[in-house]
Amino acid sequence: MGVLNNALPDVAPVKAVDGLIGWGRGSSIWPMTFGIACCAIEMMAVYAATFDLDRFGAGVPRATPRQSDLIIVPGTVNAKMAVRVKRLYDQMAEPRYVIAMGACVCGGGPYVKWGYNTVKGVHKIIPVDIFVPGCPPRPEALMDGILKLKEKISREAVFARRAATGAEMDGRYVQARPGGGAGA
Amino acid sequence: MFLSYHAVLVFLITGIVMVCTPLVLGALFRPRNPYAEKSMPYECAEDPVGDAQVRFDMRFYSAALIFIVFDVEIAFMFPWALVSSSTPDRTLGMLEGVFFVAVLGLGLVYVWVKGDFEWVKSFQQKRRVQG
Repeated sequence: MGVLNNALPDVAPVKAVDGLIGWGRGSSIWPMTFGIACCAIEMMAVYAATFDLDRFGAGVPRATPRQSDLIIVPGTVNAKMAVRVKRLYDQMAEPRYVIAMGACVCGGGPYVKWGYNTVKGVHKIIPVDIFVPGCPPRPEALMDGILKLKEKISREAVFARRAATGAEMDGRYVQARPGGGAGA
Repeated sequence: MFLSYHAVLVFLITGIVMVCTPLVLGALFRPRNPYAEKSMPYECAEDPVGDAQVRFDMRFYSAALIFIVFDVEIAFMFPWALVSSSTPDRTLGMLEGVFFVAVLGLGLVYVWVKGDFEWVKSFQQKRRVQG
């Protein structure tokens, strides 16, 4: 299984096939049905008719992490939720991507100083691909995040032997696990 | 004679190839990285409790069955309401609808008498036997 994954030399024809697969993956992102706090309301608006995320192929939220590529973390992650977010991310199928939506998720937001229970940025528990700041971000901002992610996915190596583009994660907060998540 | 079934054979082979090709292709280049946390049952990120093969109470089944009867009845009422108001003989349409509901109502009376609405049926029956 997966014998050809990142196993071929990084030459032009392989790159071309990778580009094609990346284009397919980036154009059919399946986000997970997941919302935590107020940013989730804005995220729902993005999914719905007015802003219509389906234009970018990412408009069908899946009910289980097994079917999802993308977890948009919308809203304040507190210590109790952090464990769950981490596990949901762990249970997603690979390749998997994370969008941190909103100020709280990007770095603590309004709770950065006195929020004793808030995780100051979800990148402390899972590797984040795209940060979308705002309180909450406007729907256009989230759509821009999706497009940025699409760009990132299309650059990724599938067959070619190349290091992953890498998501940002503050590894100090997570125990290293054997073969654990991307970029961990 | 068997040659006349060649279309079935082609159909069968095409079906098998169409299913197997994406599976094999996906298996070749998808990342494979199972670990304990990833492979555990999905319970909305909570720790799974108990066994998956739990015994399910039969009373839910009978309640669901009774519900389905009236659920389907409602589904039939909508087209009936649309059509019966535009038919020339409105009385007949109305009577037919009433007859349909009455038949289901008879079913309702039946399950009522049989005691299927009693959630703690066994206790009720025991009491009836004793009293």
